[in-house]
Amino acid sequence: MSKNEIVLKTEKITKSFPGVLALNKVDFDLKTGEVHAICGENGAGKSTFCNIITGIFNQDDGKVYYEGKEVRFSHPSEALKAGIRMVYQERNLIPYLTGAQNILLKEEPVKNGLFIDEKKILKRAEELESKYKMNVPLKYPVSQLSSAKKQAIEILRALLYKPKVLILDEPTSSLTETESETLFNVINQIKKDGVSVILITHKMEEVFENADRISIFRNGQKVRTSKKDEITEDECIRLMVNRNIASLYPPVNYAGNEVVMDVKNVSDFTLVKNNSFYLKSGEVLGFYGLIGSGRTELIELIYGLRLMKSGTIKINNETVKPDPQIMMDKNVYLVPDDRREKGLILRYDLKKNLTISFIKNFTKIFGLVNSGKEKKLAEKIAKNDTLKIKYVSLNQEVDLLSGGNQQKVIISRWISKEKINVLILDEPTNGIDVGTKYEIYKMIRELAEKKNIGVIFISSELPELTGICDRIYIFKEGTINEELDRKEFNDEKILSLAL
Amino acid sequence: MLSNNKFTTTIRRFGVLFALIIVFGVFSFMEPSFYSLRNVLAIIRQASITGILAIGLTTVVIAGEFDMSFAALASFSGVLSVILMGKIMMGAIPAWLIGIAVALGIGVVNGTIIVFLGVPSMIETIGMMTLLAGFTKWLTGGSTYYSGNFPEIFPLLGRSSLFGVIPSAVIIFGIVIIVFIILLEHTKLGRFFHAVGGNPLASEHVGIKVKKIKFISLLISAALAGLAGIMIGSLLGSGTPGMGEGYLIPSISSMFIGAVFLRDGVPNIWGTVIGALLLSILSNGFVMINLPFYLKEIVMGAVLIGAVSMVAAFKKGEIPGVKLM
Repeated sequence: MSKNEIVLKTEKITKSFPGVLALNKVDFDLKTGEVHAICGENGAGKSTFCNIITGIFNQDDGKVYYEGKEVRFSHPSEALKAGIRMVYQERNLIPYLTGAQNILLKEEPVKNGLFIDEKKILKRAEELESKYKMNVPLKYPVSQLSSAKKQAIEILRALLYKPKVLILDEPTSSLTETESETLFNVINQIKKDGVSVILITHKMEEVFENADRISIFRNGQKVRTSKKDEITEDECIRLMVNRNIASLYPPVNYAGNEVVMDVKNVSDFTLVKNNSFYLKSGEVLGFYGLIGSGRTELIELIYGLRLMKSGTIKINNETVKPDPQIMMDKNVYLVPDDRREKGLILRYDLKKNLTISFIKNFTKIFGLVNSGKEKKLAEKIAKNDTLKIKYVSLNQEVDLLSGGNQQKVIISRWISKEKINVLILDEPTNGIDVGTKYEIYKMIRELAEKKNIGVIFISSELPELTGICDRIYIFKEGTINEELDRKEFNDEKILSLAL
Repeated sequence: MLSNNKFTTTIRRFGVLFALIIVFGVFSFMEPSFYSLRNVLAIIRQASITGILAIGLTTVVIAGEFDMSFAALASFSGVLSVILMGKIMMGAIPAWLIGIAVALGIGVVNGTIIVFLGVPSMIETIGMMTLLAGFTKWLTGGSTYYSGNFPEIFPLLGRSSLFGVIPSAVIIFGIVIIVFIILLEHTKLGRFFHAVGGNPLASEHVGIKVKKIKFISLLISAALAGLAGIMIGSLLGSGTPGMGEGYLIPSISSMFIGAVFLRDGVPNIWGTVIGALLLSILSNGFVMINLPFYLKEIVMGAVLIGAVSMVAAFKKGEIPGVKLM
């Protein structure tokens, strides 16, 4: 096994999902015994790429070579057999089995041809634990363990199989610094044994401390691969940030004046820790952070969709309870992040999806629906000047509309309201076409500047935030890390504050 | 984090067992003949058919699915074996084996539709339950089937007893308990049932064939339904449509009562057995101390709701294995 032998190689891997080109002709190679980091913003295609290597997805085009031969794994078990292991970002343990039982899952030693040998399970788990100098409680159900310990158990499980390629997807996202250090000690140890590691992470320090080579992904493309000492951290961040579509953004005229929403010390003590912020009328306020950094969760606390454990919320100087109905009564409206899961009622047709938020306006005594009135209202909303929804009939299934049009349906519901104090948009441009994106950007600026509405715009895409926001809060690990005014905006700075 | 309060944890883990002991004590205090050996064995015998069916259901729920058809399947297999003996003079043993084999066949149908077509198990098995009830009525012509030609060993599984003391049903129940404790807690297959029900995606990632494991769990439930069916036939000495259906609610209750035993909200064999015994003590005790006839159903219903509520409270999410959509 020579050090520079290539164990895994891809050629022009292309993969698209309905409406999105997730990977575009990706060339990549992994050498024996190297740690190869993959960096990129959310949605750059890192996870999709690894899912193709491990056989969870099949590529539309392009080739994967493993140990010199072309391979096409159609099920994760085939990649496992070949020696490719992935430790996934989401937890992959059986909650009420113990640590040792989870590590040896599927590989249980058997005595007398029938009985699982629990003693041997524990012994083998302990051997692994001491071999890699990790400290893991092996005898308790994993549901009782912290996420760091669960993570350690998953890594031990992967190492049990002596993999040739180990893929770690954001392995340190829930670890403290000491715990991360332990993990990287293990990585350095297995590297010496000739194991190749693909490390997906947002954390730049980790990349530059531990990786041999770095590949940067952006918008489904691999934009560069470099040896660690041939690239700087700043360069890396600059390559991750896409700056070409800056021309998309409408001109910004800051018009904010009085405070419409004032939030103090809001916490649920797990995902959201003690956040305070304010929003002025006529202002577009950006929330930036990685997925899971607390931005969506903070909004869900305020809107009463998660349990708020402490904090106060004031709308127009009046303290209000976090409750969806109260928020709507105060003319605070939310467009949620996942339009299919949280926004649309897929079994309703277009008309009903448009009018659902106005149902009080066209029901009569005993709650009977006045269909004539409903139809007129639906037409009025669908034909609004701000967002043009493309549809065939008001009775068509909303499921068949394009992603962009579905998003317009949800936004139109709210912007057709007579009075709006605050409009909250969570990832409104996720997975939609560029044209619709531009329409939404323009709408946001118009709502703020012409109607004096306060807009909160949550996004993982930095360029669109710096393009249209007046102010940005940057989230990191559940807390607002920094507040920046428009004149202080700087992509690299914002990204490094979030990582 | 690890068992912060030992006392409350113990109460919670063994609460069902304490309840069983308390209920038993109260009935014994009110009616001394309640704790005679005869009555205790009668209670266990009463629990055995419920228990066997509930163990099958427990296996399915551990693997993350649900079964509503097992009681109707017990009727169908039981009636079929009784008719084979009475009408075509088949020997008891081949008739019983055919009863179980046909039940396994129904299990294959359930498994194929649920696992390979992807129909939610709750819905599919409600359909199968109804369909089988129809077939059972067709077999008997809608009434109780009885014949003077039943083989001599026909009562063996339900009405005879070892040394004239231990009812055969209790012995079969004991064997089933031992086999399933070993299967579910001490073999690889059992570990896979827990893994698949606990986290199917994770199981898939370590290379466990999730569909195959779920399929096997449905086969097991069907086989035990067949066994319980031939035992019911032997117990009654005849074949009656609906003779298994009466065990449906007690079996489901036993499984849910058991799910709060030992592990929080996860069904397990010991828990299910204790659940079946608790229900049997309740229904036996109600008769012994002459409570009004309608009280039994009221209490049984309340116990089921109470047990499921506790499971829901512990699990803080959906009830395991119950997916309607």
